[in-house]
Order: sequence, then C-alpha cells, then structure tokens
Amino acid sequence: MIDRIVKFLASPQFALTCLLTGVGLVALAAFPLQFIAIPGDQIARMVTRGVPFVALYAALALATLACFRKRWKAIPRLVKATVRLPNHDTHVVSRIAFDDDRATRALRRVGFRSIAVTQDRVTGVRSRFGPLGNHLFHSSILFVVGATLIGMVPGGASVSRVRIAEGESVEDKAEAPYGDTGFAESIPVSSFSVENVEGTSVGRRPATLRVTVRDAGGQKRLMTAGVPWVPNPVTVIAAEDFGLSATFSIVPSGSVAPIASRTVDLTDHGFKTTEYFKLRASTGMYYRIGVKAQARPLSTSTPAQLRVSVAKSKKPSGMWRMIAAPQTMTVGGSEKAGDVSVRLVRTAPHASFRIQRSIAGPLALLGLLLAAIGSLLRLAMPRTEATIERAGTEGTAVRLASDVYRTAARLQARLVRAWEEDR
Amino acid sequence: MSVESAWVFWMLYGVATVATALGSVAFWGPRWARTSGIVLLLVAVGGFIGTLGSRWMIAGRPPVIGTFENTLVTATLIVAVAVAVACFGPPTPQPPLPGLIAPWALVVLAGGSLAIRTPLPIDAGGRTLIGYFHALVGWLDFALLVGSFAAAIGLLLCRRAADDAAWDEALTRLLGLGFALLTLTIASGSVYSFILFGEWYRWQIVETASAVAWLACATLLHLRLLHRWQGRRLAVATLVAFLITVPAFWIWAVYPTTYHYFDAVLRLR
Repeated sequence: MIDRIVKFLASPQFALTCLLTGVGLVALAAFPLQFIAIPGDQIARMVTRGVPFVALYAALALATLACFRKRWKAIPRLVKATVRLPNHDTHVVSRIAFDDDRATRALRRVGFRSIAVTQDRVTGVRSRFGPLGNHLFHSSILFVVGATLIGMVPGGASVSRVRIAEGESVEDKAEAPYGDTGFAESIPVSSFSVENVEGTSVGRRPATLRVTVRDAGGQKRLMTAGVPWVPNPVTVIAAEDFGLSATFSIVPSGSVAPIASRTVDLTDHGFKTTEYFKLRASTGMYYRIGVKAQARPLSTSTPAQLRVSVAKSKKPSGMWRMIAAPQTMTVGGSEKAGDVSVRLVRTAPHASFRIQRSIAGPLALLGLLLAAIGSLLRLAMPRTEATIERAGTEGTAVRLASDVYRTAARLQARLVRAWEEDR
Repeated sequence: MSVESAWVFWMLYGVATVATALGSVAFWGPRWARTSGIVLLLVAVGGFIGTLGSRWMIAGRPPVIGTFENTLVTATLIVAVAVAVACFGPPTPQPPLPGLIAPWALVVLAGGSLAIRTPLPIDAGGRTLIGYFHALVGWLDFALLVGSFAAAIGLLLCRRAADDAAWDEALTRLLGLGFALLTLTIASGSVYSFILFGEWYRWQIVETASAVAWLACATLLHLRLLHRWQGRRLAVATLVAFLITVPAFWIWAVYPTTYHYFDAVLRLR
C-alpha cells in the first residue's frame, strides 16, 4: 500500500498536477487581489497561507520526497562514465573505415571525456555530471518549502528597525523603537555604534548611502544600500535610509535641569512636514514640540535650520494649546516658550537600520543557490554521449544522444567533421 | 543631454535598427544572404551596445532604469540570441530560426519608443551589483524565451514533417536555457529583495507573474521531458506558455503599484 502511494506521489502525472494547480491558484487567487492593490502582507494572510496554498506546498514537498525515494538509488548510475543512453536514430555513416585511435582523437577534440575503447566501438561522455543537476534542482524545492515553514513558526523570524545617529550606539536606541516589531525583542547582535553616515537623495529616496559602523570588537564595517552587514548566518543588518536627527531638551523656567530630551527624525516624512513629539514635565503637564526642517536636507552635509513650535496640554490626548509662535532655531540655540525654554542640543545625520533575524535564512539561500546551479547544470550542460563504431565492412557510424534534448545536431556535425578531417 | 551625445545615440540607434531589419530579412534569402544576415545582425548588436554605452554616458549610470532603456537592453539581447542561434544553434531548415527571432527586437523597440525617454535618476537600492545582475539575467532569459516562441512558430509553419526534429531540438534547447535563466533571475531577485526589504518573496504583481511564468515553464518542460510531448503539440503549448510568461517581464511597465515600477506608464503621444 505504501509503495503504491509513493509510486503515485513520485509519478510525472502528480508532479504535473501540482504544477498546473500552482499556476491556477496563483493566477486566480493572487492576481485579482493585486490588481485592486491590496497590500502584499494582506494577500499573504488571505490567500497564500490559506488552506489551498499550504496543501500545495505540502503536495510539492511530498512529490519531491517521493521522487527522491524512488530515484536516489539511480544517482550513481546516472553519473557513470560509461555510455548508458539508448542510441537514437540520429546517426551518420561515414565511408572512412573504423579506427579506434582516430575515433578517440575525434571525440577528444569535440570535448568528450571518459572515453572507452572496445574492439569495434569507441564511446565518450560529455558533461557527465549534468544529471546531478536534476536532483540538486528538485532538492531545492525541499529547502525552500522548509524555509517557508520555519519562517511561519513563531520566533523563527523577527525584524526591527532603528534609527541611529552619528556618535550613537544600538544601546542608546534600545528604548526608542519604531517599526512593526519592538527593538526590545532579543536581537542576537552585540553592540555597534555609528561612526559616519553619508548620503544624497533623489526625490524622497536615498540616491547614495554609505554607513560606517564599529562593531563590539572595535572593527569597522562599511554598509551601503546594497551591501548589508552579516554578523552571523542568521542575522542581517541593512542600512535602508538616512536622515537628519535633532536632539531637543526642555527646561522649566527657573531651573537648569532639563525635564527630558528627545531626538526627532526630520526627514522621515518629507520636506516641510512637521514632526511632533510629546514630553511630560514633573508638574504633570504635557508639552508637544513640533519641528519642521526649513530646507530639505538633500544630503547629510546640509546644515539644519529648524522651525520649532511648542504646545501644552493637561492630557496627552487632550486639546493642545500653542504657547509660543513657531520660531527658527539653530544648533545650541534656546528659545523661551511660555513657562519652559526649548534648546536645540545637536543635529546629526542618522542611518535607518533594519536588523533582521531569520533562522530559515541560510536554508532559503541554499535552496535558491541549488535551484540556480541545478537548473543550469541540467539544462545548460546536458549529459551527451557519443559512439563511433564500425558499420559494415568499410564504413563507420557516428551516433550521438543528449539525455535531456535527445538530439544534438550541431555537436553531431562537429563530431562527424572531427572524425572525417582528423587533423 | 548634450546635442552631441544625443546625436551619437540616435545615429547608433538608427544603424542598429536598420541592421536588425535587414538582417532579419536576409535570413529568408539564399545561403549567401544568410551569411550576410549574420554579419548584419552582428552590426546590429554592435550598434545596440554603442547605443547603450552612449545612454550610459548621457544618464551617468548603467541603462537599466525605465521602459525605454530596458527595451534597448532587451532588443540587444534578442538580436544576440538570434546571432548565437545562427552560429551555434541546431541548424533549422526554412523558415530560418534567426530570421524569426530578430524581428521581435524591433517589436520590443517599438514598445519602448512609446515610453518616456528622459533619463531617470537611480536610487541607492538600484545601484547594486546584484540588481544589475538580476536585470541582465532577466532580459537574457526573456530573449531566450522569445527564441523558443519563435521556434514554436517555425515548427508550426514548417511544412515538412521530416524537419520537425530540428525545430523540436531548437525549441527545447531555448526553452531549457530560458527556464534555467528564469530560475536564476528569480533566485537573484529573491536575494536582492532580501537585501533591500528583508523579504525573500513579496506578494507583488511582478513576483506573482514570475511565479506563474516559472510554474508554466516547469510544466512545459515536464510535458517535454517526462510525457515526451513534441512536434506541433509542444509548439502550441509553448505559445500558450510564452503568453503566460510575458507579463512577468513587462507588467511593471504598465502597472504602477509595484516597486519594480521605474517610470511613467507607456505614453501614447
């Protein structure tokens, strides 16, 4: 019974059914949702993690496993040096009498190796390991499906995003997360600090980005938008964007101690958009600071002139009352706003980092590599076998067969030429 | 764009286009004309490479942004595939396969001429080696699949059943290479997506179209290799699969809600 099930799962018909079902499911389920611009994560939740897709993943994995069970014993035979393909009809008869030395030379000239000589026959094999590509390619499906399943397990993957300004370290930002998951989540990366951020913009996106960080061991790491830092196989730290950060402090009248200070990103939402942040004073009052860049910092070297407004409220969600008209400030400057004074402590370029932990990452990468190598090995370098043998009393037959494409007309023509010219 | 650079660009563009058209026609003629067809297509490839180099100088970055530039790259590779088929591919009888492949470069160029031609800026995410590799392999793959499509048309037009085997081999080899490069395109795109966005696969229209294209080509190869489909049946299946595959390569040019979208929608002037 088990054998019959395995035989069914390993059959070409079942593989074909899986593939056609995949085409149908993706085309019918995902396309319409994408055309009406539903975000990808919603589509993933609604469709691709739905029962039909999970069943398809399972079917693909089962079919691949069954194929392996059925065919793995054949692998040594597939890569054997000796000729194993049946001779197809495609052969050419030459009038030149058979000569094994001449045949060996002809085969070598056209790139055939593993040459075997018998009394009336010389054989050669080209791209002997091509059939292995088939197994590498199909095993990649298992890796990719495995990586997808591991990625679905809680704790299997996490992403945090954090902005760190020049001179600051990860620890400085540990309590100021942003993004969809908190930075407090354990990230298996030791401390790093940002040394230098250089960037230029195109529209609202970075045109160039170079970030230098120093890791816990004191070693410098350079990151660009296309070259992340990979501290260990399951962690990737990528620089995604840059911007200008400003640090403010608020000091109550008659005091020297700031009640709080906060850093605000001035470039996250675009030019001349006011960024707000709220602070709570010891008096119980809430202050809301609005900051707007006067000129969009098109590069990290742009000096900052900021427009700052201050509002006050008894509750963080209550009505905000402006207590000072917007004022232009530069670094080191201080402005009185009602019963507090607001000081612009510093501005510095920051980089936005994505810190990503993915247990399945190496598995997915291995799967993709195997898929690419396997398909190239199998389809771009198919195993080809050639036979030059005695045909009748005066002639010689030149036969050639490819295990993927059956015929190889141009190679056969080259072999015949090599045989006939024998230079 | 300076007047001199634009002049050089359009001159090379014109030379390459005319050489492609003449080369395509030459393959339909006698044997000596076929040789001149190869020469003309080589001139076209040289002209297109010069056009791309000139565009690179004008834009100050590799010409990989926007529909217009991508059609230039694609046309170059389609003509290059036609030359490779003429020189190294399985010899096909009339109608000639290179003569069926090369005209598609002109179709692609015509599509590109409807798009905006102003050099667009590139962002930091685009300035990556893996990004350039992904684009180059993708367009080479498209050129190979155009080759298999042309071979399918050739097989259907072929009147002598004895020639079917030659067409069959040409079709299957181009399809096999196309599938291998489609896999490499998706794999490199996946790594690129992970570097830029932290996701191996994003459910966006281009990726969905690529998944469908990959499954369609895999189905076709299974039909050929395991179920031994060949001849006209395989040719019809290839035509259907190619139509399913085209959106994976071009949907971004007409559908703006994707991060693959690089320029304005194809604009009919």
